Amino acid sequence: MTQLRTTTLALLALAAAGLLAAGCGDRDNDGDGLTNAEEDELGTDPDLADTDGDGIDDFTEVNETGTDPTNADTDGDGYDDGDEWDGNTDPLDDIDHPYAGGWPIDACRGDVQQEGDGVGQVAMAWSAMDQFGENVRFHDFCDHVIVVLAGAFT
Amino acid sequence: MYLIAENHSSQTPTIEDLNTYAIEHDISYPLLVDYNWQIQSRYSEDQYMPSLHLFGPGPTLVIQDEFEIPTSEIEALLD
Repeated sequence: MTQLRTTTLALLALAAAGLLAAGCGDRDNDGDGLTNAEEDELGTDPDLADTDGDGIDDFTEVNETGTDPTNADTDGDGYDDGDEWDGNTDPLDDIDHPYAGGWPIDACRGDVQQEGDGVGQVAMAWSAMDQFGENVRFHDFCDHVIVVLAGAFT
Repeated sequence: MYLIAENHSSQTPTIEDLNTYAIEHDISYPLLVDYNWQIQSRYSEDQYMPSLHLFGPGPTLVIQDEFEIPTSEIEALLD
């Protein structure tokens, strides 16, 4: 009888351990939307919602931006994925990055239907080198109100 | 944006020229090299200065080649 109780208790303990183990996998310690088991598989930290600290949580990196949740700068262009996402640039394209001067680039820049260079027309594209050594594309600021001043140093 | 076609020596400005000017005047907006007035000539046949152009979202040209732009015109586009 004692042996039966012991065996039963042992089985109960094993079952509980199994349940606990299963429960840990289903849990989401950091509340980022990925379970601990998924984070384990991805190599992300289950106790940190934003493993690489780039400003985008792990769930969003895996399911929306397509960026690497363990690498703050997925395309290796020197700009964090979060800064690129906020700045409307592609965090998966190392050519595309936020404007060095800090001004936000508009998401509409790829959809500009240029018409001409007269009043009332959507301006034609042009680009020029700036004080940071960057090639600035005029259409990158398509949703801004822009004053263009032409002049020379005097 | 500020298009600069000539430096103090009436030459095309270098990036260093622009950078120095930007630091001196605390400018973070684009300060751009306009080689041989190529960009300015899109909007003006003359090369008198200063010449101002105002663009609304689009970017749509709203005011072209004026000596000054009233603040009210800019504010109207920002509303």
